[in-house]
Amino acid sequence: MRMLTRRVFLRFWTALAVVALGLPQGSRAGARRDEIILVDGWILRASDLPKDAR
Amino acid sequence: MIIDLDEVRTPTLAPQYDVCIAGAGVAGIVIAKTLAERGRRVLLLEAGGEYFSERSQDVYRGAVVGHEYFDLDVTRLRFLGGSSNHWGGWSRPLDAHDFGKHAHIDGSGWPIGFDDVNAYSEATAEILGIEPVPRDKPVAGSAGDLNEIFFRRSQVWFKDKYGPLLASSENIDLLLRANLLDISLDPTTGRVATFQIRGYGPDDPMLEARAESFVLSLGGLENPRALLNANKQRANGVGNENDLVGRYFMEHPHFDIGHYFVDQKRTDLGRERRIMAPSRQFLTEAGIANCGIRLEVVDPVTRVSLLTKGRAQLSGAVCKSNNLVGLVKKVRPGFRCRQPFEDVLKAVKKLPLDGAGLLRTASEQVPLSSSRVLLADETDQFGRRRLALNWQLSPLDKETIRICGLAVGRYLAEANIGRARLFDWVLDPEAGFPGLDDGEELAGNHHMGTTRMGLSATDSVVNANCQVHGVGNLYMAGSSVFRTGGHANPTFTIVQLALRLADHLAAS
Repeated sequence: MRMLTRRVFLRFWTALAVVALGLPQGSRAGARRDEIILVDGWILRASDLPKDAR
Repeated sequence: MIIDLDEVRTPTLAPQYDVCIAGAGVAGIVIAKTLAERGRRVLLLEAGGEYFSERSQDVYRGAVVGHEYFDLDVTRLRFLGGSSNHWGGWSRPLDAHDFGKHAHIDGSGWPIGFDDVNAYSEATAEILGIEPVPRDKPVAGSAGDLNEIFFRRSQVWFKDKYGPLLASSENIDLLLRANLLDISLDPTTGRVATFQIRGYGPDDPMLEARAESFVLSLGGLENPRALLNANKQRANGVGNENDLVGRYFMEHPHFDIGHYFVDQKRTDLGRERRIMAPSRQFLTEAGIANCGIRLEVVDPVTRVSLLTKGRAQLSGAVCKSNNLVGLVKKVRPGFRCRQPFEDVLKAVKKLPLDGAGLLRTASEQVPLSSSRVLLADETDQFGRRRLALNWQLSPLDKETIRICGLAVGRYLAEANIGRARLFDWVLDPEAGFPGLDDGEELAGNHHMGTTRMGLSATDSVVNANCQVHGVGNLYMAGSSVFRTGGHANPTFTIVQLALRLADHLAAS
């Protein structure tokens, strides 16, 4: 039960972080708009992931 | 002049000094030296000798009753020069932001400002034998969130640098092996009349030190202990009418929070150690405390190991990504890899990460009334009650570390020079802090806040001049007066405040 609660909390937290971190990158020359996401502790660009995962 | 109570049991002291200072560590030595240069007669009391001894160090033994902490007789040294005998030399002033009042940090807001202490920065750098600390530099590509910050490394051990001066000064009497056992108040005025001191011999006489003003500079743990143990005339201890002495103990929590991986064609990170800190605006908007984030360099073997492990973890993250990123739209159960194997390989290979290092935070701890120093029942060799430390950390301390870790990770990704992975405990709101058994540095051995500064006796122990509220001639020196601790190592600020207090005492 405790593990389940932890997992639910962790997922909720991760979802929040994805939203919080998912700010537009801006318009740096040569860079396309990208989102910053949190996946399993990794802070990544959405474009780091395979296309169907974004 | 130096007098060792092991050699001279009943020394001839002046009938009255201008200032008597208990504790010849950094703060005590700076105050004594500054006052002597201005012609004031100073009695400086040091409970240890010129070198470490078990007999003296034993007085520091105590109990740790709250969050895990270092043994209390290990976290500081009790001989001439105090903790400067084992410090790392890291020197940096507090930020202007650290002195301000912030709605999200209870009890923040010093009664003095950055400019009040900054006036002593040049003299402090000279005492510490360092060049001025460079100004913070905004980190390009961090959207104003982060600054690169700098420290200077002092090589000064106060005993070695200032010992000869203390010995030769005509205005300083330095008493070695002089234990402060009690503080006697004048019953009429409520001012300190004498410091009661004694050597180590069982038959050594109790000596009385008389002065116009008295200073306690015994460190952030012993300053409150001296006040609390002085309870013959004040049941709760001197200056403790409002039960504030010993409360608001703060440290600088030090934790490894994750790893960073960089493309070394694009950055020096991984080869050069850098320290970053959130900008003032970021701190305010995020509602967190201050924090230094160290991007530590690791040795080549560790780097290879981190990269290998990192790629494996990244593969795992890519596998999970179909689930976790989808959380925004829909929660999918199960953690098995939902990405085609070749897609995972491609995603990991796409990131040219060939450098790696450790992310470590040294953060501000917010003041907490329940985080405190108490008197234990056990007594030391002089019959004075030993210390019990109840160190407490708050959810905001954890949040500070999490947000700062995410900020650095976001910077690396946005600038496309690297990526970071934070440890599970950092991101898990239910997880506590790791401990010494987990190999953590844990804290900086910085003891702050236990006789904190403030405008009113109802929320502080000393006023803006470091004078104990209600005791007209008793002053506290050292990091025990810090209202909040920032994230910088405290010694630079301790010296600034000591110079400021010496100015005040010389003028009064």
